[in-house]
Amino acid sequence: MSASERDVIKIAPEDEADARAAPEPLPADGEHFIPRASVQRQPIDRSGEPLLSIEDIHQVIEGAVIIHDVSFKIWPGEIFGIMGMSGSGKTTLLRLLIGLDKPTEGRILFKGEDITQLDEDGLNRVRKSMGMCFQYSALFDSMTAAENVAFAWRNRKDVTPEQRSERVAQLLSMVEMSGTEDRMPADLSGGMRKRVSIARALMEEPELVLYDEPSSGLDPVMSCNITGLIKKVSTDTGSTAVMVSHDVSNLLGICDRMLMLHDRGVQLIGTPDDMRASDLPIVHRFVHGLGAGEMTEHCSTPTGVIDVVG
Amino acid sequence: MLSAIAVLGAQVLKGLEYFGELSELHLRTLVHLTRGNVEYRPTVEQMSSVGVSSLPIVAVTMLFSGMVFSYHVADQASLLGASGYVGWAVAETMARELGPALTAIVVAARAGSAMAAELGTMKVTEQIDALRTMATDPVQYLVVPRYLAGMMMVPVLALIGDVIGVTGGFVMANLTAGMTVDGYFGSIPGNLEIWTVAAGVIKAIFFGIIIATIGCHQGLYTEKASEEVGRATTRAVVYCIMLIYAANLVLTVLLFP
Ligand SMILES: Nc1ncnc2c1ncn2[C@@H]1O[C@H](COP(=O)(O)OP(=O)(O)OP(=O)(O)O)[C@@H](O)[C@H]1O
Ligand SMILES: [Mg+2]
Repeated sequence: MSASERDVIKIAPEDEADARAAPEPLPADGEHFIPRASVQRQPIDRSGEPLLSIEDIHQVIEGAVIIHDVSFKIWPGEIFGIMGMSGSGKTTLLRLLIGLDKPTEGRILFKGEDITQLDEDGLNRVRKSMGMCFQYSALFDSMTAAENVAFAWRNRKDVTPEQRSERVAQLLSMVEMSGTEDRMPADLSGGMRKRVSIARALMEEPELVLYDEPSSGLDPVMSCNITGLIKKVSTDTGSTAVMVSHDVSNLLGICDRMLMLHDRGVQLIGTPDDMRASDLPIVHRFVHGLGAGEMTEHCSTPTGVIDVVG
Repeated sequence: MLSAIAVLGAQVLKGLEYFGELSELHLRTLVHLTRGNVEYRPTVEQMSSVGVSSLPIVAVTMLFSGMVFSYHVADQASLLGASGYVGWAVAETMARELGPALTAIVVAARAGSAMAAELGTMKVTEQIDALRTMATDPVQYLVVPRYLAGMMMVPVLALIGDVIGVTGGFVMANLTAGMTVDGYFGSIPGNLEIWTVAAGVIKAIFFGIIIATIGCHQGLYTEKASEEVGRATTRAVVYCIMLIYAANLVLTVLLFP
């Protein structure tokens, strides 16, 4: 893929046909504004081998069971969402998928290879086709924004410094961070750091990108743009995205399939429509908002703790 | 009684575990070095950081140590009628002992602590994990450059410290005993053996390795809480100083049989 072909984050003409559902692009940064409904996705082929196959994993940290008997598969090209309450183990699960931690039990197959059996060298080989965007950005604070984004290419002999800066500029413009090349992470806001870290994760066009809360800490417009970007990147490069988010409406909007993590296990796995149709109380509460679901638990309100039933 | 034994046993186990981790980190560093997995830029950055940050303190420390030492020696020497050997005595002591050991202590406090603090912060803020997700071994990217910087810069600093210490010694001998340049420095060339200086350099190389390995280990094994970074930093300095003194004894016996 040439550099110009990569420059895909502009609204292509064919997208305009579908633009009725999308909001009008904002005039100021309209060039990069990607209404999420405007990206046409092909149906996912789930007849072949899955890209990731998670088999009966358990994770126990310091004696506490964080994940209990979780299994699911993710196929190439999918945008897969993970939702769940704070502390339900979403980050823990993502860390397992890229081999940062090893599960206490179970297997994780990436393209058929069990990554739980690999040593660090083996994992590094596999990780060359993965990227991860951390919940708290994890930018290298001794490097500028541009050096952070370019990190994966720092030792590449086959690209010139010009090509590298061009690619960095392109990625930074995708996340609407043009002009921040020389700024240090400490001088950026939390949301800006988040966007630089997304650019960094995409530098090598990984086949699988893991996003941990990519839109938390962003304003609604930017949050929508970032989810749009994730969809666009996945659609254009055919890469697979696993996205953890609290922002359920964004997830429902872009995911092909998603799962609900609750009570240490998978509560439900399915398409956004399955999620909307589910009458599992916890899923219902997530999808339709706290007030709408049937709640049999204590629910705290500004006036105190009340018992809500039905 | 039993519980005292249990506590002691637990401490011994902890100590063994610590040395196990330290050896493993050292081994992994050596494997990268033998494979030539050295990144140029961070290595140069670390060398300049270790060298530049520690030089002023090394200079001050060695200057005053040389002065104090020479003051004592000049006093004793005049009693023994051996004033002609003061310069050599100071130089010999600097090269054998004070140069490498004091330099190493200063570098441990300045650069070893910085290594622990920097890597500890990276650990706590998941930057180390981010490195790993980008298929980069933190040992290769972070530890190897610091190891090389410690190994190369501590001997250089120790040699500079030797010279500053001997010069400080001259200033003191001149002020208190009225020694001349010839009388002080003239005794050095014929008496100080090159091997003595080399042995001091060898010591300094080992001290540099100790500082980098302990500093990096404390950083990489920091627990994920910000107050732990402070603790790791303090521990790095304390362990460095203890291990440097212990290694100094062993190396002295081996190098000066
Ligand atoms: N290193 C650790 N040591 C002990 N417990 C841990 C550790 N990491 C995670 N946990 C526990 O695992 C559980 C899940 O944590 P995790 O960070 O995966 O949650 P999460 O779903 O990502 O939450 P959030 O939405 O707030 O980011 C929590 O209860 C947490 O206390
Ligand atoms: Mg999380």
